[in-house]
Order: sequence, then C-alpha cells, then structure tokens
Amino acid sequence: MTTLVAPGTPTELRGAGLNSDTSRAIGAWRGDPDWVLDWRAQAWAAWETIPMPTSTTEGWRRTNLRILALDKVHAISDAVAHVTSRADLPASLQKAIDTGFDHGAVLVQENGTTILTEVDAQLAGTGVIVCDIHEAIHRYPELVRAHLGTLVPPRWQPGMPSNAGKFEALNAAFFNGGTFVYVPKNTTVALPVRSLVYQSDADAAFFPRSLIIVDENARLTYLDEYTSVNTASPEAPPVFGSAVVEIIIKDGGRVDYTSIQEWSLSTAGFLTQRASLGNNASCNWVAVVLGGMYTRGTADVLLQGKGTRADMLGLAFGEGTQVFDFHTLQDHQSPFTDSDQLYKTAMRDRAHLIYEGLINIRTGSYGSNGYQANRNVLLSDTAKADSIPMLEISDNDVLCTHGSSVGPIDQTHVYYLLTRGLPRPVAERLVIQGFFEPVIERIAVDDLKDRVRAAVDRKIGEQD
Amino acid sequence: MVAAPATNAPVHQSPAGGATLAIRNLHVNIDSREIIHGIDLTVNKGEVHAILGPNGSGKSTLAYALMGHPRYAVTSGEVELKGEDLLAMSADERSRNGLFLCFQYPTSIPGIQMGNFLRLAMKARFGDAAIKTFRKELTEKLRILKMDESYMRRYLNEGFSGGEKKKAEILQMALLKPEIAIMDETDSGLDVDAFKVVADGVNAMRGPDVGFVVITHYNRMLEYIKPDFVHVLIGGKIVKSGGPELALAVDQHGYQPILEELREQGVEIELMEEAGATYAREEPTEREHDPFRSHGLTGL
Ligand SMILES: Nc1ncnc2c1ncn2[C@@H]1O[C@H](COP(=O)(O)OP(=O)(O)O)[C@@H](O)[C@H]1O
Ligand SMILES: [Mg+2]
Repeated sequence: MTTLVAPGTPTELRGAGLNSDTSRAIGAWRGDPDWVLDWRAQAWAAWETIPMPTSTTEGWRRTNLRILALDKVHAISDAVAHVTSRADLPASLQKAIDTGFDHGAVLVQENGTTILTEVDAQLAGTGVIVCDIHEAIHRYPELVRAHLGTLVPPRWQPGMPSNAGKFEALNAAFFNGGTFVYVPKNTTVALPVRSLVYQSDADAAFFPRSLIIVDENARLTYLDEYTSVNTASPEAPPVFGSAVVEIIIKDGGRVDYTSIQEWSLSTAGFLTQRASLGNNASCNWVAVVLGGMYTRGTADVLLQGKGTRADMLGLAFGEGTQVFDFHTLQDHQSPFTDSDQLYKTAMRDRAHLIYEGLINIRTGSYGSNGYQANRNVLLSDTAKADSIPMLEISDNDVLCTHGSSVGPIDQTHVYYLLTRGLPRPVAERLVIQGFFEPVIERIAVDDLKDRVRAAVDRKIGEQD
Repeated sequence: MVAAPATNAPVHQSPAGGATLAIRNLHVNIDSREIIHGIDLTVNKGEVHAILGPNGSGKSTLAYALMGHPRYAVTSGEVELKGEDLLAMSADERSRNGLFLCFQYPTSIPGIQMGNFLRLAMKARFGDAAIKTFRKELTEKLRILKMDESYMRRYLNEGFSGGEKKKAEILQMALLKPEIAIMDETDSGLDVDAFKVVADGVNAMRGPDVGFVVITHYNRMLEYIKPDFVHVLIGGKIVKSGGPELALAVDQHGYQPILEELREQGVEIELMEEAGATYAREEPTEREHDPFRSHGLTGL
C-alpha cells in the first residue's frame, strides 16, 4: 500500500531563521493543536535560557561548537521533492530503500516532509501504526500526547544538568518530520520497520522527531537511517540539524533498534536517542555512525522497570577531520536490571573520537549488572580518541565493569594477512572489518547485519 | 630490483639455470641482537629440504626473516627468489611471488571469516579469474584435509585446536600453490590422526613445481615426507648438511655428536639460552611467542 502525503511547501517561511516567530509559524503550518504549540513555545524558551555549552562546560570540554553558524541557518526547507511513487524518489533514496530485504513498513522523509509511506497491509491489520509524526498528532492525539517528550523533554527539568537539553529543546521548538510507531500489546512486528530521513536542502536545518511506542509484550524491529547532502561549497556553513528519537518500551516489550547515520561530511548534527524500559522489557540497540563532520550522539537507556535488559552497541568509523562526540548513559533505576554496552570505533587521518559513557546504578537497583567497553583503533598518528568511561554506583550487590582502550591496529593480524598475499590496504581493511564484527554480530536481525556491513564496507572502502 | 606489482602478481617462471630460492650469507637480528649468523641455502623446485635443530637455534627466525616480518632485521646477506631480490619485497609481495610460510604458531583473528579471507588471498595471488574455480578447488582441498565446510564460516583460527590450526595452514598452502613452501614445525603438537592428515596434505602437493623447506624436531615427519637434503641448524648457523641419513643420525643420537665433532674441528657454537642442555619441547603460549606483542605494538 502506498499513501502519499501532499508536501505543501511552506514558501512563506523561505529563509526564516531560528527564532520564536518561525517556531510558531511552523506549528501553525503543521496545524498543531494548542498543546503542541504551547510545547514548542516552552521549548523555544528553554533554548533561550539554557546557556550555550562552552569548552569549560562539563561534558562539552572537547567539543567545538564554533563550527555551527546558527545565525545563517534556515529553520525549514521550502524545497521538497514531489513524489507520487517509489519511482519518483531521488536515485540515492531508491537505492537506500532497495537493500534487498523485506520490510514491514518504510517511511521516507526529505527535508522534514514525508514523501513516501509504505505499510504492509497485514501489518496495518494488526493495529500497528507507522506514520509521519504530524499525522499521528492529528489522528492519535491521546497516544502522542501521553508520550511525546516524556523521555526527551522540551525544556529543562529538575535533576538534569543545567546545560542539558539545549539542542534537544531546539529540536522541540522547530520539529518538522519524524516517524511515529505504535505496536499494540502482545503484537510482534516480524519484519523491520524502516525510517529514512534525508536532508537534500543544505541551507535548511533538519529537526526530525520520532516517537516509538511498544506496548506490553509487543515486539518491534526498527531501522532508523539518516543521510544528508553536502554543502554547495566547502566554505559554506555546515548542514545543521538536531534529531530526537524517543523509544518507549512497556512491560515485557522488546525492541531491536538499529540506527545508521550517514550524513554528508559537511553536516554538523545532533542525534539524541533515548529509550525507556518497563518491567522485564528489553532492547538491543545499535548505533552506527559513519557520516558528519561533527556528530553529537547522545544514546541513553533508562532501565526503569525491574528485570530489564539493554544491549547497547555502537560503531563509528572516522576519516578526514570528522569529529564524533558520543555520550551514553546506562541508567539503572530498578532492581535486577542488566545493561551491556560495547562501542567500537576506528579513526583515520585526523578524525577525533570522544566517548563519555556513564553507568548509573541508582539507589534501589540491587542485583543489577552494568557492563561497558569502549575500544578505539587509531589508524594514523594524527587521529585521536578520548575515552572516558564512568561509573556511579549508589547501591550494593551490583556488578559493574568498564574498560576502554585506544591503540593502533593490531599489526600481528595485518602481518598474517600480508603473508597470504593480501596487499596492505586490503589487509588493514579486513582487520578493521574484523574488529567491528563483534558489534555487527550482536545485531539481532540478519538482514540488518548485512545492511550495516554494507554501510561500513562502503565507508572503509573509500581509501583506495 | 624486483618488479613490484601492487597486487595480482603473475606467477613468475624460474629463470633458466637459477635456483628458486638462493640464500647467501644471511645475518638476522632481533632487537639488535644477532640470531642468525650467516646462513647459505639453495632450494630448487621439486626438492625437499629438512632443517633440524634444537629449540632456540634460530629456525623460526630464519623463516620469519624470509617471510618479511618487520621485527626480524636482515643485517647482511642476499636472498633471491626466482632470480629476484626477495629482501626488497614487502611481505605481501613475497607471498604473491610464490613464497609461503606455514607458521609454527598461526595467528588467530576474530571477526574475519575463513571463507572470505581465503577468497581474498586467492584473488590477490591469482587475480579475479581464480574466484571462478575457487569453490571447486576449496571443496577438493577440504576433502583431502578432512576439514568440514563449516570451517569457512568460522573466524580465522579463532578457537581452533592446535591440529585445526595446522590443517588450516596446509589448506592455505594448497590453495595458494607456492613455489617455495616453508613449514615451521607443522608436525609438532599434532596427534597421530592430525599428523597423518597433514603429512598426506603435503605429499599431495609434492611435485616438480614446488620446493619445500621442512623445519622439524621429529624424524616422524621425515618418514612421511622423504627429504632430499637435511640441514642441521644450531646457534644460528647451518653446521652440517647431508642426505636423509643425517636426519636418522640426529634421531638416534641427538645433536651432541655433531657438536662434539665441531668442537674437535675447533668450531665454537654459541648456544642461545632456550637451547640449553635439555632442549625443552613444550610449546610456549601464543601470546608469549608473538613477536609483535613483546614489542608492545599491539594495543587491543
Ligand atoms: N620475538 C622474539 N623476541 C626476542 N627474542 C626472540 C624472538 N623470537 C626468537 N627470539 C630468540 O631468538 C633465538 C632463536 O629463536 P627461534 O628462531 O624461535 O628458534 P627455533 O625456532 O629454532 O626454536 C632464541 O634465542 C630466542 O630467544
Ligand atoms: Mg621455532
């Protein structure tokens, strides 16, 4: 089934900057109900109040935000492709969709507008909802209102660090596009649901906001992909955006979530992903980050219910002057909660990796296990990795380990492959692929493993 | 100078009259300590040379140096492979030019599937055309080595038993069809069955197109793979060369008679520490023996 959403170009907002008028105008154009308009206004106020992080702000010490040219960014794009079928999609998107495996649903968005929605008829028949977030606000207001912003609030809230949520607030004030998924109780979505967010307008910011709700004992596999164009010239300010994903997993639910960020190398963006788990819920979470000149990746799992389990996997490959700024949280809030994180990265050229990962075991989380490992390979003398694993333990009877390493590629491995005739670039590529494989192996769905392998191979293969 | 193709080197023919592998007065250092003190050895296709010697005498050092390991520094001497300067070639060029080393302690590499690796190695040595016949050849070699297809999906040597690792080395050798194959104690640590499979695998390869250098402790191997020449390597030097009867003599009387004979001739042999009186037979662990690790080159 193919449904089409009339794009409706907001031409009157052409060139509008990031200000409260534009925030309101986007809300009006989207036909937001009052509560969403109010929500945007609060978010704008938060954006203005929360101080801009600087090099002395905790958690931002290694971050250089001066590359952003926020005064030059257009808040919304007026350029949307008019699509009436799959065949009308830009060639790059067609290729991205046709990865050779079946999916239950796919939603493609360009510059904030949904240009293609395909939902398997059988899937729709089970009561599963997959649609554009704005459509969801109109058609399922209670469902959205009860959950939107519960994990990534539009404004600062007590308990959050004073600088937290700045760019998440910006997303809330301007959010345009994003995917809504609801899986009813006891329902299993066997085939992956896919979302593809594509920014083809380099002058406009992207602010997609996705909300995924998996009800009690339901199960979902989700593939979340992000791409963007290059700027017209290297001197132009970077393509900019802030994306937010909230994943709410109710009691006994299970989500296999894989995100692949393949932004252009002239994109500087924020990607905040947060999941909450109810009693006995579990998630397998994989964040693959390959693109972007600067990526602020925030990945948090909130283990709210008893007996929850989160596997958190991350993979990044950097080249040129790419900067990856990763912040992860394994937040144990209940007894008998398990989290297991493995982040592996390889940096080439002058690429720079920053990893700050926190395991927080809160009071009352007895019987919990938290594991954290961050392994980084530097492929050149000028590449850099700062790895800061952190533990905060406020209960007894818990088991936590964390470890990180930064080092060169394993020359023992490379040598062995050389002795079998593999030219050095091929040997090194194979060793890097092998280094990432333990992460890819833990992706729950075979089709998604191949999808990730293909993305990594494409990226690593660029060298020769 | 060698014509150094980046990839897919064609298989060179041996120049008329020249030896396939010619080692002249080779000296090798590890960390600025000389281990090999001048070795001369000539190996032609069709020949099988055995190298015997106590532990620590420098047999593996010779093999690594020939295979271009960066830690084994050749300080003087010459090596030619089919008339070309082997020492000017990188390790991968040496391989693509027909040199192969069955490692005494093969490296395990998690995350790299055996099948994928073999395909890339075949492509590197024989070009894209080899991919077409790869499957068929692989099936045949697996059968000879009594290896299951499922090996192809396993990670390279990861979790392999000692015998499986050695078989995997022979499998690679059989597929890559070297012109000179060095086997560094491929027979040690194998049970009787694995030993037979390995020896049969080698014998199946024997022929006019390949020359073997078989490094071993045991005469057992040489009963299966009859050598044409036998060399005794002690203290970084080849102290005695002969025919198969030399291997038999070593098997029966050890190295002591040879050492005494040399002493009578006034030749002093510097025994390296590992080579002490007992010639300990136990294998070091892989980690201890990995030449990179002790150098701190690996971080992960
Ligand atoms: N990686 C290494 N680092 C330091 N010394 C080494 C290394 N490999 C070998 N050696 C030394 O070189 C000598 C010869 O060793 P090796 O070639 O392994 O002997 P063999 O193979 O004949 O048993 C020994 O004294 C050994 O201690
Ligand atoms: Mg040895």
